[in-house]
Amino acid sequence: MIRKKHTTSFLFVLIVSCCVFFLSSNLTAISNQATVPLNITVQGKLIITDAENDTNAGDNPTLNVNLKLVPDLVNSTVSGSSSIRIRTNLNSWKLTAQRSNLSGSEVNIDPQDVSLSFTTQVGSKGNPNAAKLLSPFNKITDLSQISTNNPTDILAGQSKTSLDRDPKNKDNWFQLTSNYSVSPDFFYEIGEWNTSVSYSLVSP
Amino acid sequence: MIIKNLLFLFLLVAIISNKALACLSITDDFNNPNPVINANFRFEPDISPFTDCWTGTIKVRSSQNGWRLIATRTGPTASNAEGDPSDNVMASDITLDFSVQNFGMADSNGAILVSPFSSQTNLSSIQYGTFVISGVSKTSNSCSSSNPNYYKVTKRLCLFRDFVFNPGSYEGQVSYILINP
Repeated sequence: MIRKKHTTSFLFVLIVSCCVFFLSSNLTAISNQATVPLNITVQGKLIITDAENDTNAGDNPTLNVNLKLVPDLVNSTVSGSSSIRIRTNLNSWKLTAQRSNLSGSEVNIDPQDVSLSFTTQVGSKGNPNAAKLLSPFNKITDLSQISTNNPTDILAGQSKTSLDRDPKNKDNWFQLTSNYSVSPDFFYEIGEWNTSVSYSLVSP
Repeated sequence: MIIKNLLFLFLLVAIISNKALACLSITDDFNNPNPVINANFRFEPDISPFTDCWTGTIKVRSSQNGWRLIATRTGPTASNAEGDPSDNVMASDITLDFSVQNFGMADSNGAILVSPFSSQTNLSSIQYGTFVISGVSKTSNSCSSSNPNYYKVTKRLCLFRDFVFNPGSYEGQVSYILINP
C-alpha cells in the first residue's frame, strides 16, 4: 500500500515537472511585447525670406536687396523700402549686411546722401524681443554705415523668433524693414543709382 | 487507483497544456520576436515641408479569441535642450495614426482600434497601460513567426517643423504589450 502511494507521488511529481517544463518552454518561445524607443533631435536653423514672397521661403541665409534711386527735381524726397523676414530657433544669432556698388550707376550720389532707417516688426506669433538693432542702426543713419568691405552687424539676435506654436509657420516671423531716401538736389546728375545690400544670418 | 490518478493527471496536463499553447505574439515587420523598433526624428525647422514623419509596424498573432493590445509611454524627455521648458517637444506635439490590416485567415473585423486611436490623435493619448486595440478573434492556432495569419499594426508619428521647439535631444519610449483580458 505504501509502495503504491510512493509510486503515485513519484508519477505525480514527474508529470507535474514535465508539465512545468513544457509550459515554461512554450512561454519563452512566444513574444508578446514590443518596445519602441522614440528619439527626436531638433537642430538649429536660420532662415531669411523676402517679406513679399514669404511662402517660397528657403534656407539660404543670405538675401540680396537691390536699391534703386531716381532723384528728381521735386520737392519731396525720393524714398524706398524693403523688408526681410527672419525665422530661427537659435537663441544666439546676428544679422549682418554688406553693400556693393553696382556698375552702371551714373548718378553722382554718395552713400552718405542716402538716409537709412531700420524698423522691426513681428508676426502675431513672433517674438518682439528676439533681436535688437545695433548702433548706429537703432536710429536714422545713412547708407555709408553699411560697409562695402566687410559684413556690418545690424541685428543682435538674443532669442528665437517664435513665441508660440504656429501650425503653419505663417505668423512666427521677425521682420526687418529698411527705409532709404534721398533729398532732391540739383547737384545730382540725371539717372539711376543702384546699390545692392546682402543680408546674412549667422550663428556666432 | 494508479490508473485513476494517472487519468486525472493527464486530464490536468491536457488542460494546462491547452492553456500553455494559447499564445500571444508580437513580432516586427521581419517577423523577428521581441522587436525594438527605432523611431528616430532628426529635423530642422523649415517652412516647407511642414512635417517629419516616422512609420513603424508590428505583427500580432493570437490563438485566443479575446486579446488586447495595450501601450505604455515614457517621454519624450528633453536632454541638452535650452530655453523655456514649455517650448520643448511634448507628446501632444506628435501626431499619431494607427491602422490595422488583416493578413491570411485573420478576420478583417477581429481587431478593433479603440477610441481615440480609431482616428488621428497624438502621442499624449498613450499613457500607462492604455487600451489601443480590442482583439475579438484569433488569428490562427499558431503564433509561429512564419505563420501567415496575423494583424499588421501600422503606426505613423509626425512632428511639425515648428521654430518654437528648443533645439536639443528628446528621448522617449512606447511599449506595446499583448494581454489576455
